[in-house]
Amino acid sequence: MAKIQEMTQLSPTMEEGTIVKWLKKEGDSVSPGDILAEVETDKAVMEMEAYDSGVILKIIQGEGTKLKVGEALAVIGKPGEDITSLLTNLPKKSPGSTQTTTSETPKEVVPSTPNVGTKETASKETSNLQTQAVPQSQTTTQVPTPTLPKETTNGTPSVPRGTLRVLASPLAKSIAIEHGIDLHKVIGTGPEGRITKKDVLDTLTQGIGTTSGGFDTQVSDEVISLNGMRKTIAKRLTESKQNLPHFYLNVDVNAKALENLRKEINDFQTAQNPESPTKVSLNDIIVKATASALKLHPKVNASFQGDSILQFGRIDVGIAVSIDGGLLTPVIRDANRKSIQQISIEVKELAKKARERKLKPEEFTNGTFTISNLGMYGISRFTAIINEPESAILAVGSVEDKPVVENGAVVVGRILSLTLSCDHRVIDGAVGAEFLKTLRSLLEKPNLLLAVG
Amino acid sequence: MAVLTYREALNRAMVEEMEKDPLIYLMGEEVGHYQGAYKVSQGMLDKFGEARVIDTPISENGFAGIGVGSAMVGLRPIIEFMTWNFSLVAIDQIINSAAKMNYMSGGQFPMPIVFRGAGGAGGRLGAQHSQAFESWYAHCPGLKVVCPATPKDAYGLLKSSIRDNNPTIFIESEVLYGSKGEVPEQEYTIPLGLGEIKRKGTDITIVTWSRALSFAEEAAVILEKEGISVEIVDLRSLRPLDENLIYESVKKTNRAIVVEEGWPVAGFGAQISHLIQKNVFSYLDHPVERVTQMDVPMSYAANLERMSLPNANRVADTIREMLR
Repeated sequence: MAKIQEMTQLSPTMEEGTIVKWLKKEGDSVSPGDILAEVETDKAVMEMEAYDSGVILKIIQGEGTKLKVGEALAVIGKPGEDITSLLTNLPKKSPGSTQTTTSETPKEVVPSTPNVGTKETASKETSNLQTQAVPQSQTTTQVPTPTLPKETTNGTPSVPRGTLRVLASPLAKSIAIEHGIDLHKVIGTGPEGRITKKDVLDTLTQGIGTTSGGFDTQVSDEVISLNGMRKTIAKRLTESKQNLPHFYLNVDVNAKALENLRKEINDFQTAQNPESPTKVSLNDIIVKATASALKLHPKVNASFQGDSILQFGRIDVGIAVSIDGGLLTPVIRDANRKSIQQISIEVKELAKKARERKLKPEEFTNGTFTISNLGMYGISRFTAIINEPESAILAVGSVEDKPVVENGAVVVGRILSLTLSCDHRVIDGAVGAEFLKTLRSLLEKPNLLLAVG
Repeated sequence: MAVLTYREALNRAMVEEMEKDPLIYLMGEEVGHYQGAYKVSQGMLDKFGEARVIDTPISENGFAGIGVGSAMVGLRPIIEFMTWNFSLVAIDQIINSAAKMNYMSGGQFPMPIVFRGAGGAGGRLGAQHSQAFESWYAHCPGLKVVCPATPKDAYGLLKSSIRDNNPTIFIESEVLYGSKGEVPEQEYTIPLGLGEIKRKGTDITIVTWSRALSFAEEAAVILEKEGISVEIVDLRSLRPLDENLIYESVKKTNRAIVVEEGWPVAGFGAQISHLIQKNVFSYLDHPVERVTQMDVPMSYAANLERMSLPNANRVADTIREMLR
C-alpha cells in the first residue's frame, strides 16, 4: 500500500518549507531514516527523512516549491503499484504554497480543481483580481489565509489573491506586483475607491503624499522580499515587543579584571598549545558569569506561561549571532557547568554552523536566557528585545576608556556597559537589579567564578 | 512658410497632382462653374477644363458609380460629395463596389479613387446635414479613411490619398475650411497611417482627429493653467491607424480619452478604447474615457447644437474627473 510522504515539521516554529534539493529520484528505494531531500525552513536548511520503506513512485513537488507542513511531497510504495487514485485524491496545493522558477520545472500532477467564482459585490465591471474560491483541502477544514505578497526564491512576488475583491487600476496592480505591495493595504482614492498609481506610490513612500509629477520614478526603490528567517524575526520580535512589558536596567562594570583574566587565559592557552591556542573572548567569560549569576537568581531564569511562571532548572544561554540576512541564537546548554574554554569552543563552533545555515533546531531553540553583544561594533550600550519565551536578555556593549573616580581621584577606567531587558510579568525591578549586582560582582572579581557553579 | 486656409491647401494639393498626372480628374456637384460648393475647387475649371473638372447633376449614386468604373479602367478620379451626408445615396457604390473591387477581382482592378467632401456639423444645418460618418466608413475593410485637422495635414494627406491605389474616404471638416495654418511652400506628402503628437504632455493622452482636435487643444490650454499636462495624439487617418503612437503616449501618461465628433455608439473611439485596453492594459491607471457628440440627432437650434457637440469644457471636465 503506497503512502504519501508529507512535508514534516522540522523545527518547532516551522510552518512551511521550501524543497531545496531532492537527494532521491523516482524509482529509488528508500527506508525510514534515509534522507529524501534538503528543505529550507524558517531557520535553516534541514534534511528530511523518509518515514516509510519502499520505492519512490512519484515525486509530487519539485525543487524550489514551498509547501505548508503536512502537504504531499512524494509517494512511497511497492514498485509498479497503481497510485492514480491516491494522486487524484490529493488535496490541492494550498494558496500559501508557491511554485518558484528553478532550472527544473516542478512537477505538478495534481489535477486542478475548477475554480468556483465567489459572490462578489454588485458591480458592473469584472476585475482580474476577482477572487477564486479556495477549494477546501480534504485533510483540513481550515481555509488557509493567504499571506501576501508571496515570496519566491527569485524574489518576484506573485499576484495577491485575497478574500476581498481589490479595486485597482491595471497600472496600480502592475506597480504593486513589481514592488511587492499588498493591495489590500492600500487605500484607493480613485473613482469608487479604486487604487491608482498614485496610491501605490504613496504607500511605497510610507504614506508621504506625492503630487502628480513630484514623484521621481527614475530612482526606483529596491524591494527585498522576505526570506523565511526575516519573516520569523519580524513576527517573533514584534510579538515580544508588543506583548512583553519590557523594562531596562543598566549598569557599568569595571572591566579591568575581566580583561586581565582573558589575557591570562589566552597566554596560558598559547603556552599550552603554541600551534593553535584556543583563545577566549570577553564574551565567553561573560557567558560563564551570566550563567553563574542565573544559578544564584533562578527568578531571572524563567518563563511566563500565561497562568503560571516556569522557573527553569537548566541554564541554557543563547548567544545572538548575526548571519547574512538575519540572526540566530545558538544555545550553550548548562553554561554554568562548563569551563570558559569549553564555552569558547562551543560558541565558535555554533556560530560557524549558524553562518553556514547548518544549525539543527535543537541547537538554537529552548534557551532560558539570551546574551546579545554588540561590543565588537563599538556600541557603548543598547537595549535588546527579549527572546520569547524567555524573560530577560542581556545587552553587552564595548569596553571603553572612561574617567572613573577611584579613591577620590579621577583615573582612566575600562568600562563595560550592561543592559538587562526584563519581562515585568516575571521579573520585578528589584529582582533584576539583584541579578545585575551579582553579575557585576562576578565580572569585576572573576575569581569568584571558581566559587559558584 | 505660407499661411493658407484649409480649403486653399486642399486646392493646392489637387492642382499640383492634376498637373503632374493627366489621369486624375475631379467630379461632383458644383465643382466646376460654381468653383466648388465650399470653394475648394476654386480656379480648377479654368486650369484643367471641363473634361477634367466635371459638374454633375444631383445624382451621387450615379457619379460615384461612374467614378468607380473609370477607376477600374485606369483613371484616377477625385469624387467630391457636397457633404458626406449625401454620400449615403452613393454608399452602395462606395461599400459594395469601391471597397471590394480589388479584393473581388483578385487584384485585377485596383481602385485609385478618392471620395472627398465636407463632413461633420457645419452650423445650423439640422439633423440631416450635420453628421460625422468616419466611423461608418472605417468599419468597412478595403477603404482608407483620412480626417485631416489642419491645412498642413490636409495638403499632405490629400496628395497621398490621390496617389494611393486604394479607395480613400477623405473627410474634410465643414467648419475648418476657413481655418488658417502654415503650409510649407515646398511640395511634401504625409503618409496615410501616420499620426502626429500635436501637443506634448505627461498626465493624460487625448486621442482625436479632424475638427475635434480643436476641442482637445482648447481643453489642454484650460487644463494647463490648472497644472494638468495634456498630450494630444492627432490620428490624421483612421485607416490605416497609427496604433503605436497611441500606445507610446498612453504608456507615458497612463490615461487616455478619445475626443470625437461623431456619436458614441459604435463610434471609432470605441475601437481605439478597445485597442488601448487590449495592448497597454498594464499601463492604464484609469478606464479609457470618451467625449463624443450626444447620442441624439443634431438639433437645428444653435444653442442646442453647441450642447450636442463635444466641446473644450466637456473634455476638460472629464479629464479633471479622471485625474481627481
